[in-house]
Amino acid sequence: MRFPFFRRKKKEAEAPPITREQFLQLVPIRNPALKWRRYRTGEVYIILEGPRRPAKQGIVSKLFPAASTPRTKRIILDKIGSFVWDLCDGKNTIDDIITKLSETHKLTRREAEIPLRAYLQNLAKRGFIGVLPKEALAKYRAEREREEEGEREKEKEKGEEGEAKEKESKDKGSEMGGGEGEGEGEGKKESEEGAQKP
Amino acid sequence: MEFKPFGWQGLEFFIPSDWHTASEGGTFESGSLRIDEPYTPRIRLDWDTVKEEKLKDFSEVLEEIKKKMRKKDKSLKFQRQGVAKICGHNARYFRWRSANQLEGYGLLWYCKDTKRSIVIEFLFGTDEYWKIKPAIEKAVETFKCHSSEEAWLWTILDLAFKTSPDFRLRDRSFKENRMHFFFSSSSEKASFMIDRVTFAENLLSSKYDGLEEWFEKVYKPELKRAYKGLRLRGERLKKAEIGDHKGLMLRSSFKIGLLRPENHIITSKVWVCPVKDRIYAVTTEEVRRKDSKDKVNKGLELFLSSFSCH
Repeated sequence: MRFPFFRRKKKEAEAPPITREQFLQLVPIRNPALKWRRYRTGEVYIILEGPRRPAKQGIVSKLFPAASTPRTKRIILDKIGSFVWDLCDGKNTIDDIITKLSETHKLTRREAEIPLRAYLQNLAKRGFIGVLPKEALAKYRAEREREEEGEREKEKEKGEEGEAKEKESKDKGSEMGGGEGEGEGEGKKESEEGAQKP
Repeated sequence: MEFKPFGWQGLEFFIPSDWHTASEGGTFESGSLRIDEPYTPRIRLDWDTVKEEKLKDFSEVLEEIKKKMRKKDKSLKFQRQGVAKICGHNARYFRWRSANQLEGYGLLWYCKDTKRSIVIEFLFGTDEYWKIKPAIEKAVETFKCHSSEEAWLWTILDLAFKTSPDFRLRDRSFKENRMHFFFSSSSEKASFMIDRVTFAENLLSSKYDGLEEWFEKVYKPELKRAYKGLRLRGERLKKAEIGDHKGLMLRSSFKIGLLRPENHIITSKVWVCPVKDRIYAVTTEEVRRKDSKDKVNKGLELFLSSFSCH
């Protein structure tokens, strides 16, 4: 029998290390679920919505129930941060961003790489961006396109079904109404609704 | 292929102009550095001080190197080794190949003048040999492990300057947007400190209200930390022209010692180089005794005359 104290701890699986070359070919992409806007000065701010603030206790909360407002936070990126944020569009690799950063700010590649690496790590830690290899990004995009196509097809099918129903209702209307004006009108209304629904 | 001079810790040679220092560590006595092409490591350089009495035979040292390398990669195969000459010293060369299509050409020698054993390795893929060959030849031809010249070249990224051989690199740091070096002479009668900050325009417009505020908030506390005993209460920053740029200058001094007090004179110069969008800060320290006749330290003079921001 083994004592529980001497049980070996299972080692946590470590992510396989990647080479610098592989790292430079990764593509950073902004989190599509994030809300972000831009100041007139060009600086980007990210809007984070947290849990609602707890309502204030006492009379104030009873008088003003809206006091429990949602907590929003703005994270403002500086000019260089905003410049990099714009480049995290899923089209540029880290290598491309280094090149652009070093060209615009008169840096050597190494000088641009070190702060960029730290900055991207920081953004990724907070979940503002994801960093994917090119192939994975292409796969993800193809999947998204397929999903969107599927949705479009479903919409089309629904539309066709609606049209078929319209026709049916039209036929029924003509059969029931036997040439009366009101019946036809109702049938038209239904068909309009049917067309709007999908 | 275009070449540029490279120098570090008293070792000088030429490298292709797009290669740069990727990592460095250690002191003059023992240390290492790696030079990379933009994507791949190209040169590994190691040096270590060994007394002549304790000097081992080349073949013995080579075996040790092989053992060390095989520990890291078991697939390594040593193909050739032989005798060579570098910088007037007898050397041994060796060549290896690993299973993942990587090859290396190394040279090992002992410099009697600086009492250092030096190992340089050139790394390349099996299909890259002809591409790298001119760079290897140029580096080996121009390698200087000791020199009669009274100036050592120091280059890192696009920064280059010269110092007299008695100056040693005591401290350095490479932060996200900042490089810092501290040198002092072996007699400790002079020292200098270089700081280089990138993204100057952005930093001075968004975080600090100009260079003066940056100096007061960032650089001044660091100066006090570096030069203990320095009091900067009464001293004021003066506007000065530094090279082609407008900058700030601060002069201060402090005394240490009871019987034979030494006067430490500190001069700081800070400026923004718009050509490179960087803040440069250079501080020099001179130690003078009352009875000493030397007015300006020659080592400091050499450094200041060779240093330029762009």
